[in-house]
Amino acid sequence: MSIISVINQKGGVAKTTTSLNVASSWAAQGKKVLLIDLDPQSSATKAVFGDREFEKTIYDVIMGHAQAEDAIVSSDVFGIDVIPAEIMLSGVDLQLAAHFGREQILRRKLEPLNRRYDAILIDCSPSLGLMTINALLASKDIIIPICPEYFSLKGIDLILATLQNIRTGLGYKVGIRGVVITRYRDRKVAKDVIRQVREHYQLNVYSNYIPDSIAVEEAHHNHSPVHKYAPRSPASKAYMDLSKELWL
Amino acid sequence: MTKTNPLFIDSTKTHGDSIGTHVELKKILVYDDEDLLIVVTNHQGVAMRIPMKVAEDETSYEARVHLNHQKAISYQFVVEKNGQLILQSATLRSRAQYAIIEDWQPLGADTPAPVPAQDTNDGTQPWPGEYAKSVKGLIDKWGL
Repeated sequence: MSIISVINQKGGVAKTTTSLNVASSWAAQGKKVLLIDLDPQSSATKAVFGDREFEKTIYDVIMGHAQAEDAIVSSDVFGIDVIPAEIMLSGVDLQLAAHFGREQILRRKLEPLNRRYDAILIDCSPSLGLMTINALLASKDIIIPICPEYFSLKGIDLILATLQNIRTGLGYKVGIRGVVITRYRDRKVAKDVIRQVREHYQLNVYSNYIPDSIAVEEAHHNHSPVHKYAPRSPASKAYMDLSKELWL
Repeated sequence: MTKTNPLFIDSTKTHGDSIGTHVELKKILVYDDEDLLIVVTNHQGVAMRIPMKVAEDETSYEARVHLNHQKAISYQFVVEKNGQLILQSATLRSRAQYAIIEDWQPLGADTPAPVPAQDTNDGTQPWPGEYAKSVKGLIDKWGL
């Protein structure tokens, strides 16, 4: 069982879209997958369940009001289990400021679920806060989605600095599984950025780029994974192929 | 994101607990007849000279040193041959954490010394949080 965080401190790089579609593609391939929404904006939760409200969320799990298994909600459409988020999560940093072992709450809470799933994906918030640190300490590896623009390299710098700080300050080494290229368009700037990620940062870039596609956005609004909403679209095929590549 | 960012301070370690700190030095070439050492001075002013060995990946050198967590330390990398100093880095100051990871930057006659302190607080100053609660901190902030 792997716990993988999908993280980029730069916003708008399709973190949630990647988390949802990879999780759902894995489920379609027969894997048992749990998605944890750790973003107070609850984008993944809303994309799967719409405006539905939940009695227990990841906030309750983190605050010790509920066990992780009690907050799990299943989605038949996506074929996955989800621990939903809520806006209260944005206040957790202050509420837990003096909590002993605050960096590893999520890691401890997920331990009982280890044997229940083939993979747990954590959709992180773009900000660097206590919840992101919790996600990183709970994860064996991270996946970094980027839109191939020049500013995206700044996001990678931030992540590398964060991982180094976690290693020096907290003593944990978090691995980078690879970089997922999202919203890809066949332009020179995109190729330059991908080359720099490979050569300068020496990071693994997955070969299945996710093309810029309206089908992905429409699938989001229809609370469906792209492989069900538009199964013949290039984005659907790309996510399916990417999920296989990610599983290796 | 400095190294004193409270996000990267282990809340389960109280100030002063002993930890094993992993030391890693990258981008250095050491010849067979030379020795690479890290000289660490702990918060009590005790200097330790610890030989560094080639890491498994053979691209860096590593060592392990026991320090008191979050206490002020200074450290310097030196290359010696038959006990004689050949090259040295600047002396860097920090607080003891789980890892020290640096790129080799030798001090030379034509090389300006790098800014040494990543953490300007040498342990004699209160932490920012403590300062904010101190009488002087309140006067500075609110003019009380």
